[in-house]
Amino acid sequence: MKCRAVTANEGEESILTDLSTASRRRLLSLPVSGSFTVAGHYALHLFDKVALMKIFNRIIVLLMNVWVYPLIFIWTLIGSLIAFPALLVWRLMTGWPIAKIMHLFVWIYGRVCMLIFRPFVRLNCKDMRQEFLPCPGIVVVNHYSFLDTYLLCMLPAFDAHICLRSWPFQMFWYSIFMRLAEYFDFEKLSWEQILAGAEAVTRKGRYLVVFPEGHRSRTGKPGRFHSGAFKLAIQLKVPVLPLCIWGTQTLLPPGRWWVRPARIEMQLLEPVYPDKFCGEMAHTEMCRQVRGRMIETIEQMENKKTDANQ
Amino acid sequence: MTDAEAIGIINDSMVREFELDPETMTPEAHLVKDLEMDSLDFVDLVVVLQEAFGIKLRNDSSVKEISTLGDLHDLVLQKKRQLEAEKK
Repeated sequence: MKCRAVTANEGEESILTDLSTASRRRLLSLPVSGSFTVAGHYALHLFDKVALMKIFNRIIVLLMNVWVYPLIFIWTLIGSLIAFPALLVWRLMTGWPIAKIMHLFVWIYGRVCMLIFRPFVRLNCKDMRQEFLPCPGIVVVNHYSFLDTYLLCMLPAFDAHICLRSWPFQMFWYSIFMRLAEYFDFEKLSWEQILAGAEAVTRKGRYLVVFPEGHRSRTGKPGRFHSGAFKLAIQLKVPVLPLCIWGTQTLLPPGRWWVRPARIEMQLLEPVYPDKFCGEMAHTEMCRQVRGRMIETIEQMENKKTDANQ
Repeated sequence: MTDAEAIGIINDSMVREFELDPETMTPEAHLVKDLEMDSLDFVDLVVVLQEAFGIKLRNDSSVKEISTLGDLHDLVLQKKRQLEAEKK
Protein backbone atom coordinates (compact mmCIF):
# COMPACT_ATOMS: atom_id res chain seq x y z
CA MET A 1 0.00 0.00 0.00
CA LYS A 2 1.57 3.32 -1.09
CA CYS A 3 0.72 6.53 0.72
CA ARG A 4 1.95 9.65 -0.95
CA ALA A 5 1.59 13.36 -0.19
CA VAL A 6 -1.22 14.78 -2.27
CA THR A 7 -0.69 17.95 -4.26
CA ALA A 8 -3.10 19.90 -6.38
CA ASN A 9 -1.13 18.94 -9.49
CA GLU A 10 -1.45 15.22 -8.99
CA GLY A 11 -4.18 13.55 -10.96
CA GLU A 12 -7.07 11.84 -9.26
CA GLU A 13 -5.87 8.58 -10.79
CA SER A 14 -2.64 8.62 -8.81
CA ILE A 15 -4.53 9.05 -5.52
CA LEU A 16 -6.68 6.07 -6.35
CA THR A 17 -3.74 3.76 -6.91
CA ASP A 18 -3.88 0.68 -4.71
CA LEU A 19 -7.19 1.58 -3.08
CA SER A 20 -10.03 -0.96 -3.00
CA THR A 21 -13.03 -0.78 -5.34
CA ALA A 22 -15.33 0.50 -2.58
CA SER A 23 -12.81 3.14 -1.59
CA ARG A 24 -12.43 4.27 -5.17
CA ARG A 25 -16.22 4.61 -5.55
CA ARG A 26 -16.37 6.76 -2.42
CA LEU A 27 -13.60 9.04 -3.66
CA LEU A 28 -15.02 9.35 -7.17
CA SER A 29 -18.37 10.46 -5.75
CA LEU A 30 -16.76 13.61 -4.28
CA PRO A 31 -17.17 16.87 -6.26
CA VAL A 32 -14.23 17.38 -8.61
CA SER A 33 -13.54 20.99 -7.79
CA GLY A 34 -11.46 21.39 -4.65
CA SER A 35 -11.60 17.69 -3.95
CA PHE A 36 -7.90 16.94 -4.00
CA THR A 37 -7.17 17.99 -0.45
CA VAL A 38 -10.24 16.22 0.88
CA ALA A 39 -9.36 13.12 -1.15
CA GLY A 40 -5.89 13.23 0.29
CA HIS A 41 -7.19 13.27 3.86
CA TYR A 42 -9.67 10.54 3.01
CA ALA A 43 -6.97 8.44 1.38
CA LEU A 44 -4.80 8.77 4.47
CA HIS A 45 -7.75 7.77 6.67
CA LEU A 46 -8.45 4.77 4.46
CA PHE A 47 -4.75 3.90 4.52
CA ASP A 48 -5.02 3.48 8.30
CA LYS A 49 -8.01 1.18 7.89
CA VAL A 50 -6.32 -0.82 5.15
CA ALA A 51 -3.15 -1.17 7.21
CA LEU A 52 -5.20 -2.24 10.22
CA MET A 53 -7.01 -4.82 8.11
CA LYS A 54 -3.68 -6.20 6.91
CA ILE A 55 -2.43 -6.50 10.47
CA PHE A 56 -5.70 -8.14 11.50
CA ASN A 57 -5.47 -10.62 8.62
CA ARG A 58 -1.92 -11.52 9.59
CA ILE A 59 -3.01 -12.14 13.16
CA ILE A 60 -5.76 -14.43 11.90
CA VAL A 61 -3.27 -16.34 9.76
CA LEU A 62 -0.95 -16.70 12.73
CA LEU A 63 -3.81 -17.89 14.94
CA MET A 64 -4.88 -20.37 12.29
CA ASN A 65 -1.42 -21.92 12.07
CA VAL A 66 -1.02 -21.99 15.84
CA TRP A 67 -4.42 -23.71 16.04
CA VAL A 68 -4.20 -26.10 13.10
CA TYR A 69 -0.68 -27.52 13.16
CA PRO A 70 -0.50 -28.57 16.82
CA LEU A 71 -4.00 -30.06 16.69
CA ILE A 72 -3.27 -31.96 13.47
CA PHE A 73 -0.05 -33.24 15.04
CA ILE A 74 -1.87 -34.37 18.19
CA TRP A 75 -4.68 -35.97 16.22
CA THR A 76 -2.19 -37.75 13.94
CA LEU A 77 -0.31 -39.02 16.99
CA ILE A 78 -3.51 -40.25 18.66
CA GLY A 79 -4.68 -41.78 15.39
CA SER A 80 -1.38 -43.58 14.90
CA LEU A 81 -1.45 -45.00 18.44
CA ILE A 82 -5.01 -46.28 18.33
CA ALA A 83 -5.06 -47.33 14.67
CA PHE A 84 -3.51 -50.77 15.11
CA PRO A 85 -5.52 -51.88 18.15
CA ALA A 86 -8.65 -50.49 16.51
CA LEU A 87 -7.78 -52.28 13.27
CA LEU A 88 -7.51 -55.58 15.12
CA VAL A 89 -10.78 -55.09 17.01
CA TRP A 90 -12.65 -53.98 13.89
CA ARG A 91 -11.32 -56.93 11.93
CA LEU A 92 -12.41 -59.38 14.63
CA MET A 93 -15.84 -57.75 14.89
CA THR A 94 -16.63 -57.29 11.22
CA GLY A 95 -14.31 -59.54 9.24
CA TRP A 96 -13.70 -56.69 6.83
CA PRO A 97 -10.53 -56.78 4.71
CA ILE A 98 -7.67 -54.74 6.17
CA ALA A 99 -7.67 -52.30 3.23
CA LYS A 100 -11.37 -51.53 3.71
CA ILE A 101 -10.90 -50.91 7.43
CA MET A 102 -7.98 -48.58 6.68
CA HIS A 103 -10.13 -46.70 4.16
CA LEU A 104 -12.69 -46.12 6.89
CA PHE A 105 -10.05 -44.99 9.37
CA VAL A 106 -8.51 -42.64 6.80
CA TRP A 107 -11.98 -41.23 6.09
CA ILE A 108 -12.59 -40.62 9.80
CA TYR A 109 -9.11 -39.12 10.16
CA GLY A 110 -9.85 -36.73 7.31
CA ARG A 111 -13.21 -35.72 8.80
CA VAL A 112 -11.60 -34.80 12.10
CA CYS A 113 -8.92 -32.83 10.25
CA MET A 114 -11.67 -30.90 8.49
CA LEU A 115 -13.23 -30.13 11.86
CA ILE A 116 -9.88 -28.76 13.01
CA PHE A 117 -9.76 -26.48 9.97
CA ARG A 118 -13.39 -25.46 10.36
CA PRO A 119 -13.00 -22.22 12.36
CA PHE A 120 -10.95 -20.79 9.48
CA VAL A 121 -12.25 -22.59 6.41
CA ARG A 122 -15.69 -22.26 4.86
CA LEU A 123 -16.41 -25.52 3.09
CA ASN A 124 -19.30 -25.71 0.64
CA CYS A 125 -20.07 -29.18 -0.73
CA LYS A 126 -22.48 -29.50 -3.63
CA ASP A 127 -24.06 -32.64 -5.11
CA MET A 128 -22.09 -34.91 -2.80
CA ARG A 129 -24.77 -37.54 -3.21
CA GLN A 130 -24.53 -41.28 -3.55
CA GLU A 131 -26.44 -41.13 -6.86
CA PHE A 132 -23.45 -39.24 -8.31
CA LEU A 133 -21.15 -41.91 -6.97
CA PRO A 134 -22.15 -45.20 -8.62
CA CYS A 135 -20.05 -48.07 -7.43
CA PRO A 136 -17.56 -49.09 -8.69
CA GLY A 137 -16.10 -46.06 -10.35
CA ILE A 138 -13.01 -43.97 -10.87
CA VAL A 139 -13.09 -40.60 -9.11
CA VAL A 140 -11.00 -38.02 -10.94
CA VAL A 141 -10.09 -34.91 -8.96
CA ASN A 142 -8.33 -31.70 -9.95
CA HIS A 143 -5.32 -30.97 -7.77
CA TYR A 144 -4.29 -27.68 -6.19
CA SER A 145 -2.98 -28.61 -2.81
CA PHE A 146 -1.56 -31.34 -0.61
CA LEU A 147 -4.74 -30.92 1.44
CA ASP A 148 -6.92 -32.12 -1.46
CA THR A 149 -6.41 -35.70 -0.28
CA TYR A 150 -7.83 -34.76 3.13
CA LEU A 151 -10.94 -33.35 1.44
CA LEU A 152 -11.69 -36.74 -0.10
CA CYS A 153 -13.22 -37.57 3.28
CA MET A 154 -16.16 -35.36 2.29
CA LEU A 155 -17.20 -37.94 -0.31
CA PRO A 156 -20.28 -39.93 0.76
CA ALA A 157 -18.27 -43.14 0.38
CA PHE A 158 -15.07 -44.15 2.13
CA ASP A 159 -13.93 -47.33 0.41
CA ALA A 160 -11.47 -45.85 -2.05
CA HIS A 161 -7.96 -46.63 -3.22
CA ILE A 162 -6.01 -43.49 -4.05
CA CYS A 163 -3.40 -43.36 -6.82
CA LEU A 164 -0.45 -41.21 -5.80
CA ARG A 165 3.07 -40.39 -6.77
CA SER A 166 5.97 -41.80 -4.77
CA TRP A 167 6.72 -38.79 -2.58
CA PRO A 168 3.69 -39.04 -0.21
CA PHE A 169 4.81 -42.56 0.60
CA GLN A 170 8.03 -41.05 1.99
CA MET A 171 6.08 -39.44 4.86
CA PHE A 172 6.81 -42.07 7.48
CA TRP A 173 3.89 -41.05 9.72
CA TYR A 174 1.45 -41.85 6.92
CA SER A 175 3.24 -44.42 4.74
CA ILE A 176 2.36 -47.55 6.78
CA PHE A 177 -1.34 -46.63 6.66
CA MET A 178 -1.18 -45.86 2.95
CA ARG A 179 0.34 -49.26 2.27
CA LEU A 180 -2.22 -51.03 4.46
CA ALA A 181 -4.92 -49.13 2.57
CA GLU A 182 -3.36 -50.46 -0.66
CA TYR A 183 -2.92 -47.06 -2.23
CA PHE A 184 -1.21 -47.17 -5.60
CA ASP A 185 2.24 -45.72 -6.10
CA PHE A 186 1.84 -45.28 -9.84
CA GLU A 187 5.42 -44.10 -10.36
CA LYS A 188 6.67 -47.54 -9.37
CA LEU A 189 4.07 -49.63 -11.19
CA SER A 190 3.87 -50.61 -14.84
CA TRP A 191 0.68 -50.04 -16.80
CA GLU A 192 -0.11 -53.78 -16.60
CA GLN A 193 0.27 -53.73 -12.81
CA ILE A 194 -1.96 -50.66 -12.50
CA LEU A 195 -4.57 -52.26 -14.73
CA ALA A 196 -4.52 -55.50 -12.73
CA GLY A 197 -4.75 -53.58 -9.46
CA ALA A 198 -7.58 -51.38 -10.71
CA GLU A 199 -9.45 -54.42 -11.96
CA ALA A 200 -9.18 -56.03 -8.52
CA VAL A 201 -10.44 -52.81 -6.89
CA THR A 202 -13.45 -52.46 -9.14
CA ARG A 203 -14.27 -56.15 -8.86
CA LYS A 204 -14.57 -55.66 -5.11
CA GLY A 205 -16.99 -52.80 -5.66
CA ARG A 206 -14.61 -50.07 -4.53
CA TYR A 207 -13.52 -46.74 -5.93
CA LEU A 208 -10.26 -45.67 -7.43
CA VAL A 209 -9.28 -42.03 -6.87
CA VAL A 210 -6.98 -40.42 -9.39
CA PHE A 211 -5.52 -36.93 -9.74
CA PRO A 212 -5.13 -36.92 -13.53
CA GLU A 213 -2.92 -33.83 -13.57
CA GLY A 214 -0.28 -35.92 -11.83
CA HIS A 215 0.85 -33.00 -9.66
CA ARG A 216 -0.51 -29.91 -7.97
CA SER A 217 -1.28 -27.03 -10.28
CA ARG A 218 0.96 -24.04 -9.74
CA THR A 219 -0.99 -21.66 -11.93
CA GLY A 220 -4.33 -21.65 -10.13
CA LYS A 221 -5.92 -23.32 -13.16
CA PRO A 222 -6.30 -27.06 -13.80
CA GLY A 223 -3.32 -28.40 -15.71
CA ARG A 224 -3.19 -30.98 -18.42
CA PHE A 225 -4.93 -34.29 -17.64
CA HIS A 226 -3.10 -37.53 -18.28
CA SER A 227 -5.39 -40.05 -19.88
CA GLY A 228 -4.50 -43.11 -17.78
CA ALA A 229 -7.57 -42.94 -15.53
CA PHE A 230 -9.83 -42.73 -18.57
CA LYS A 231 -8.09 -45.61 -20.28
CA LEU A 232 -8.74 -47.64 -17.12
CA ALA A 233 -12.40 -46.59 -17.11
CA ILE A 234 -12.86 -47.70 -20.70
CA GLN A 235 -11.00 -50.99 -20.31
CA LEU A 236 -12.74 -51.84 -17.04
CA LYS A 237 -16.11 -50.46 -18.24
CA VAL A 238 -16.63 -48.32 -15.14
CA PRO A 239 -17.79 -44.69 -15.00
CA VAL A 240 -15.58 -41.72 -14.34
CA LEU A 241 -16.81 -39.60 -11.42
CA PRO A 242 -15.50 -36.03 -11.74
CA LEU A 243 -14.89 -34.22 -8.46
CA CYS A 244 -14.10 -30.50 -8.62
CA ILE A 245 -12.29 -28.73 -5.82
CA TRP A 246 -11.68 -24.99 -5.61
CA GLY A 247 -10.06 -22.91 -2.90
CA THR A 248 -7.36 -25.22 -1.58
CA GLN A 249 -4.79 -23.25 -3.58
CA THR A 250 -5.50 -20.40 -1.15
CA LEU A 251 -5.48 -22.68 1.89
CA LEU A 252 -2.12 -24.35 1.18
CA PRO A 253 -0.58 -23.95 -2.27
CA PRO A 254 2.56 -25.83 -3.40
CA GLY A 255 5.74 -24.28 -2.05
CA ARG A 256 4.18 -22.76 1.08
CA TRP A 257 3.99 -24.48 4.44
CA TRP A 258 1.75 -22.08 6.37
CA VAL A 259 -2.01 -22.26 5.90
CA ARG A 260 -4.40 -19.37 5.29
CA PRO A 261 -8.14 -19.02 5.79
CA ALA A 262 -10.00 -20.03 2.68
CA ARG A 263 -13.37 -20.67 1.19
CA ILE A 264 -13.46 -24.11 -0.40
CA GLU A 265 -15.97 -25.38 -2.89
CA MET A 266 -16.42 -29.06 -3.74
CA GLN A 267 -18.77 -30.49 -6.30
CA LEU A 268 -19.37 -33.95 -7.71
CA LEU A 269 -20.39 -33.87 -11.34
CA GLU A 270 -22.61 -36.38 -13.08
CA PRO A 271 -20.87 -39.67 -13.86
CA VAL A 272 -19.42 -40.11 -17.34
CA TYR A 273 -19.95 -43.60 -18.71
CA PRO A 274 -17.39 -45.20 -21.03
CA ASP A 275 -19.89 -46.76 -23.45
CA LYS A 276 -20.31 -43.36 -25.13
CA PHE A 277 -16.73 -43.44 -26.34
CA CYS A 278 -15.29 -45.77 -28.95
CA GLY A 279 -12.21 -46.22 -31.08
CA GLU A 280 -8.55 -46.51 -30.30
CA MET A 281 -8.36 -42.98 -28.89
CA ALA A 282 -11.62 -43.15 -26.93
CA HIS A 283 -9.80 -42.52 -23.65
CA THR A 284 -8.28 -39.23 -24.86
CA GLU A 285 -11.70 -38.06 -26.06
CA MET A 286 -13.22 -39.02 -22.70
CA CYS A 287 -10.35 -37.24 -20.95
CA ARG A 288 -10.94 -34.04 -22.97
CA GLN A 289 -14.67 -34.05 -22.29
CA VAL A 290 -14.33 -34.63 -18.57
CA ARG A 291 -11.60 -32.01 -18.24
CA GLY A 292 -13.74 -29.52 -20.16
CA ARG A 293 -16.69 -30.06 -17.84
CA MET A 294 -14.50 -29.79 -14.77
CA ILE A 295 -12.89 -26.57 -15.96
CA GLU A 296 -16.33 -25.08 -16.61
CA THR A 297 -17.45 -25.98 -13.10
CA ILE A 298 -14.25 -24.70 -11.50
CA GLU A 299 -14.62 -21.38 -13.34
CA GLN A 300 -18.15 -21.09 -11.94
CA MET A 301 -16.76 -21.76 -8.47
CA GLU A 302 -14.12 -19.08 -9.03
CA ASN A 303 -16.71 -16.56 -10.22
CA LYS A 304 -18.93 -17.39 -7.28
CA LYS A 305 -16.05 -16.67 -4.93
CA THR A 306 -15.30 -13.41 -6.74
CA ASP A 307 -18.95 -12.35 -6.53
CA ALA A 308 -19.02 -13.16 -2.85
CA ASN A 309 -15.97 -10.94 -2.26
CA GLN A 310 -17.51 -7.88 -3.97
CA MET B 1 4.09 -32.01 -48.16
CA THR B 2 7.11 -30.04 -47.03
CA ASP B 3 9.04 -30.77 -43.85
CA ALA B 4 7.68 -27.60 -42.23
CA GLU B 5 4.11 -28.68 -42.98
CA ALA B 6 4.78 -32.12 -41.56
CA ILE B 7 6.23 -30.59 -38.39
CA GLY B 8 3.15 -28.40 -38.14
CA ILE B 9 0.89 -31.45 -38.38
CA ILE B 10 2.91 -33.27 -35.71
CA ASN B 11 2.71 -30.32 -33.32
CA ASP B 12 -0.98 -29.63 -33.99
CA SER B 13 -1.86 -33.29 -33.48
CA MET B 14 -0.02 -33.38 -30.17
CA VAL B 15 -1.58 -30.11 -29.00
CA ARG B 16 -5.04 -31.42 -29.86
CA GLU B 17 -4.70 -34.95 -28.50
CA PHE B 18 -2.77 -34.22 -25.34
CA GLU B 19 -4.03 -30.66 -24.70
CA LEU B 20 -0.50 -29.30 -24.65
CA ASP B 21 0.35 -25.62 -24.60
CA PRO B 22 1.44 -24.66 -28.15
CA GLU B 23 4.01 -22.24 -26.73
CA THR B 24 5.90 -25.14 -25.16
CA MET B 25 6.19 -27.02 -28.46
CA THR B 26 9.79 -26.10 -29.28
CA PRO B 27 12.26 -28.56 -30.84
CA GLU B 28 14.33 -28.43 -27.62
CA ALA B 29 11.36 -29.35 -25.43
CA HIS B 30 11.96 -32.59 -23.60
CA LEU B 31 8.99 -34.88 -24.11
CA VAL B 32 8.94 -36.13 -20.53
CA LYS B 33 10.38 -33.25 -18.47
CA ASP B 34 8.90 -30.30 -20.38
CA LEU B 35 5.80 -31.71 -22.07
CA GLU B 36 5.04 -34.11 -19.18
CA MET B 37 4.35 -37.05 -21.40
CA ASP B 38 4.08 -40.42 -19.72
CA SER B 39 4.34 -43.97 -21.04
CA LEU B 40 0.65 -44.06 -22.02
CA ASP B 41 1.06 -40.83 -23.95
CA PHE B 42 3.84 -42.41 -25.98
CA VAL B 43 1.55 -45.30 -26.89
CA ASP B 44 -1.13 -42.81 -27.93
CA LEU B 45 1.43 -40.74 -29.81
CA VAL B 46 2.29 -43.73 -32.01
CA VAL B 47 -1.41 -44.08 -32.89
CA VAL B 48 -1.74 -40.36 -33.61
CA LEU B 49 1.30 -40.31 -35.91
CA GLN B 50 0.12 -43.45 -37.68
CA GLU B 51 -3.23 -41.80 -38.40
CA ALA B 52 -1.61 -38.55 -39.53
CA PHE B 53 1.18 -39.93 -41.74
CA GLY B 54 0.47 -43.62 -42.26
CA ILE B 55 3.84 -44.54 -40.75
CA LYS B 56 4.19 -47.52 -38.45
CA LEU B 57 6.12 -46.86 -35.26
CA ARG B 58 4.57 -49.41 -32.93
CA ASN B 59 7.40 -51.93 -32.87
CA ASP B 60 10.13 -49.52 -33.93
CA SER B 61 13.04 -49.51 -31.48
CA SER B 62 14.11 -46.01 -32.54
CA VAL B 63 11.04 -44.60 -30.72
CA LYS B 64 12.72 -45.44 -27.41
CA GLU B 65 15.69 -43.25 -28.29
CA ILE B 66 13.80 -40.01 -28.78
CA SER B 67 13.85 -37.57 -25.93
CA THR B 68 13.01 -34.15 -27.37
CA LEU B 69 10.32 -32.89 -29.70
CA GLY B 70 13.04 -32.22 -32.27
CA ASP B 71 14.06 -35.89 -32.12
CA LEU B 72 10.44 -36.84 -32.75
CA HIS B 73 10.22 -34.48 -35.73
CA ASP B 74 13.41 -36.02 -37.19
CA LEU B 75 12.16 -39.57 -36.70
CA VAL B 76 8.77 -38.90 -38.28
CA LEU B 77 10.32 -37.08 -41.24
CA GLN B 78 12.75 -39.96 -41.76
CA LYS B 79 9.94 -42.54 -41.66
CA LYS B 80 7.81 -40.43 -43.95
CA ARG B 81 10.60 -40.24 -46.54
CA GLN B 82 11.14 -44.01 -46.31
CA LEU B 83 7.43 -44.59 -46.87
CA GLU B 84 7.41 -42.26 -49.88
CA ALA B 85 10.49 -43.98 -51.30
CA GLU B 86 8.83 -47.40 -50.90
CA LYS B 87 5.70 -46.19 -52.69
CA LYS B 88 7.78 -45.03 -55.66
